[in-house]
Amino acid sequence: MAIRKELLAELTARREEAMAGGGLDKLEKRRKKGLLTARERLDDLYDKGSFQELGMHVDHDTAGIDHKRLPGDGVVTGIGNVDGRPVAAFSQDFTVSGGSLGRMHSEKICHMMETAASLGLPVVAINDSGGARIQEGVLSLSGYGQVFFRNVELSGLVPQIAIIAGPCAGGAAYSPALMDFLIMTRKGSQMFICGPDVIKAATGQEAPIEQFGTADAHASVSGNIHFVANDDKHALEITRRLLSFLPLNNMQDPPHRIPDTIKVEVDTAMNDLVPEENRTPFDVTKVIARLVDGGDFLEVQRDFAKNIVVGFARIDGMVVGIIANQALVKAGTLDCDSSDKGARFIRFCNAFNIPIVTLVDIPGFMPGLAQERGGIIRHGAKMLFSYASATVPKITIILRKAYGGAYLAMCSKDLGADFVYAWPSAEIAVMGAEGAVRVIYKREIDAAEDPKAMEAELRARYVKEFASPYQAAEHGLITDVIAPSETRSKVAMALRIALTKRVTRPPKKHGLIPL
Amino acid sequence: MKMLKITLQGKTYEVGVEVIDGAAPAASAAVPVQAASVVAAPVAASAPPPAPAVAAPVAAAGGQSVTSPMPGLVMKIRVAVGQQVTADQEVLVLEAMKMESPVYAPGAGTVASILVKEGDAVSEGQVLIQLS
Repeated sequence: MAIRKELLAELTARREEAMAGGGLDKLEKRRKKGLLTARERLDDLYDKGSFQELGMHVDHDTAGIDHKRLPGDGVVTGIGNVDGRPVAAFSQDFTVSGGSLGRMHSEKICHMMETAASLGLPVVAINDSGGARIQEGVLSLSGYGQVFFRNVELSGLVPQIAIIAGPCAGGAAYSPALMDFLIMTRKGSQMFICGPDVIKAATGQEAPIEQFGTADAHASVSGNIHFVANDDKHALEITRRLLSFLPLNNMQDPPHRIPDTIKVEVDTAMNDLVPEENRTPFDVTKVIARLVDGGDFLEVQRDFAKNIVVGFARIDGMVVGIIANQALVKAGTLDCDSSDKGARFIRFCNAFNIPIVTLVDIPGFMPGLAQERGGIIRHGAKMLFSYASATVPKITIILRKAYGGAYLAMCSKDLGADFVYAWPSAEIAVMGAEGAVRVIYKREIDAAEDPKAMEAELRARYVKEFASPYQAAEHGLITDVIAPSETRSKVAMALRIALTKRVTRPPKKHGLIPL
Repeated sequence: MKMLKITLQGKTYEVGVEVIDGAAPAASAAVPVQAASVVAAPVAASAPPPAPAVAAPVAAAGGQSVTSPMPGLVMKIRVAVGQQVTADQEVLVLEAMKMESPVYAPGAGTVASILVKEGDAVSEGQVLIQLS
């Protein structure tokens, strides 16, 4: 009494065939090129032995090539554990028909995504595909459309992370584009809508791929991706690290690790970071490094719009999203790109219950014809919109400059910050002294015997009166003025209190962020 | 004020152009001219040619230019013609928004020419230093 041996033998044979993808020789070739295979990528992502595949035996249903088998139809899908928490993923297999997307291929991806949605699991999408399976014609196109639709359905429900680890061209680029974070490998991957040949044919322009389609170009110029990885393993390492800060879905809190005891520390080294001269910029990442646990900060979009710094960290064990002006770049101003970058990050944090800590050092929105013509009004408005609509705990620390509309845009009390702290070096004012004095005291200056001396005197008075945190403090616009050395403790205490925050607003379909 | 006659798609517009002394440097001259034509054109009738995109530097070796990240005044020039620079080396300091704003070399190279002097007003995207 036992199951017939040939039945088990067939199962083993079928499994082996599926595991071999496009063939053992092709897999070996990839390894020689320094690339992981589709399955090795999943093995690397997941805790050992935790992967459960969905649809291993699926084959293609492409008309006209029915004599040939395409194992898994070129994609491996399933669920496994990352640091003990379940995460769903797909990994396209370039060795099977170039990883081309056929109907069954897209159906597997869609099924995995629906499963992730109903179970509340993050999705990791490993992209390595030549594109649509042309033999399937419009069915292949329809497959892309179905994946896009589910990307949008899952948006804000579960975190979605895309890895670009091979070609990702044309319409295929829009599935990653609809996801929350894109990680792209430096070697062997490309992403674009139109490639160099198409651009040349359509416009006559020479368009070397390095200028627009590589990981470095997307990270620094277009801002389409969030992380550059050196290779496959690095991309998966970034994915795991990113997941370590995120909840599985929008109904959970992020994985806080709150200690039982409250520690009040004084960090005097923080005082040393602020230059005496208020025109000298200082590196806000140094402040972040001292503010967060163990200096462990996962910076997002590090190479794009560097005048704003965003990323994840923990403060006293609590996961936070940090948004900070970087005065070293473009004086820390908000321009079109940095507003887009900041706003998108804020919205992600809000969707996934991640408290927001904002570090302010901003002289204003970036001036200039290019900015005005580029739509700084509508782009900057995204910052205001995102902060004001965010209902997670919001803690703001004004380190130094906080001027005009940009002060408001960096999560001021008026935009709903729960706690606003200011360092004594803070300058919270409508505008800088030079401009302000000329507007307010134009008559006095013109009438004075020595207009220059008068202007200097008035300017000094303005600086004393306005370019300080105390006017704002007197009007109750900030919670407290604190020494830089107290920052970490103050923020940690505020976070503990704020984690229970609940906000109720009138129901509506959705707000209308000015895109 | 100079008056110019501009014909756009068969319609003629009279446009007043003010020439300001010490006008914007050559590199940015295209922008104000184009802005004027947009003002004169009926809004829906003609799309202005796309603004010249400020070429964002993608790291590559040699022949690169250091461009101004934002409008401001040149405060300090930290390099001299013929000097070798490394990628991300601070080559110039701008004063913008009442802040000192360091400008870095986009890649390694030799300073071929310096196109501005201390005290000059510069616009976003303007070439400041040419590397070879």
